[in-house]
Amino acid sequence: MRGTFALEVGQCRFTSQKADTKLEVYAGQCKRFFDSVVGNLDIKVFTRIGLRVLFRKDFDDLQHAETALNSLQLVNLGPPERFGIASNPEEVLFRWQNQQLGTTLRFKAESGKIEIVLPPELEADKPEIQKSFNGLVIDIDYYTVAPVERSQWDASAWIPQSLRTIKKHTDAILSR
Amino acid sequence: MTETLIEFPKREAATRQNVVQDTTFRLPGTQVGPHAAAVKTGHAVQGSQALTIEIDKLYPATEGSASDLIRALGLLADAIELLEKARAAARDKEIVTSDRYTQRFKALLPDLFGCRRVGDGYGVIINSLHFALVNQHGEPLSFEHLTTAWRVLKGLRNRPFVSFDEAMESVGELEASNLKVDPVVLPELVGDSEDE
Repeated sequence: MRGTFALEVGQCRFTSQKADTKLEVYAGQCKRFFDSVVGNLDIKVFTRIGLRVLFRKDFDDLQHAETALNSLQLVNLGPPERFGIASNPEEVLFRWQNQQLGTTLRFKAESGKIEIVLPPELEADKPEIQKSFNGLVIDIDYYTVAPVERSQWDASAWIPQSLRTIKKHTDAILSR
Repeated sequence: MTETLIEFPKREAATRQNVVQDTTFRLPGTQVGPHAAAVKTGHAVQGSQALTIEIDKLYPATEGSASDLIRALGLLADAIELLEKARAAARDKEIVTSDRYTQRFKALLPDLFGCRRVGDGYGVIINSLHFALVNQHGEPLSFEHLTTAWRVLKGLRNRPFVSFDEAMESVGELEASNLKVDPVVLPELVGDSEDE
């Protein structure tokens, strides 16, 4: 599995674009990384722990993605046109938060383009790669609000458990 | 005509409650949403002085979860409840009732030990409680014994990933209440080596 470790003043994260479905392998790698950081820096308390998961459903064009978003009927606004722009929103964002935990759930119909120019040393048949995509992105950020003691948290236990919570509640919203 | 200046509302000082941050990563090609412009101003967190998260909020028991930790948290809750009842009975001098609850607690220890993959600190505390009961040789636990064991288990449930060194402090508390937490065979082995 490929990923990126990052350690900055004030935060530390591990990002992966191709994680396993249940995030168990990912969580194991996070554990090794975070345990090492916590041990070396002698961290006792985390001010925030978060798991952010993005799912994307690809469509042929942006209009289809927007239709899919609107079919979810997440907001009860409908016509007329809002702010002279459109009647339906392009993006819907929810946040639930209390003194212990918080979650943001964002739905967005979006399009993008990837352009990569390969170095000539690679002698690739296609030195330029261009790919455009249209899709509906579901972006979930599940995080702690209250401080977490070092001896309360273990990445290999928390990440798969949090993913189960995310999937359970997101499914409930999508299938209501 | 005088003009009344209306002051532009100032942003509140950042506190733990009103700082909204996201888990900052973004897949290449995906646009940054408006919420991703996180407030980056410093925030004062009191660390260990602030109330830490409730363990049941951090690890909610979800259906179908086969995790050792979730199982251990459930068993620890049962064990704490039994010890609480045993304490109450011991305080009222109802020794038989207290011992009955203690025996029910003892029956949970093998299952608790089965969850030892949670961590070394967890394992050493459960192991110590097991040997503490074995070394009683049928004698009921006193109110002080029960209170110490109850307090240690409550601490363990709230901090299940306690390190080995921190766990040894809890074991020290058990020993300080006159519980014998070492395996029966250990003094014999030590004694043999001294003889040689």
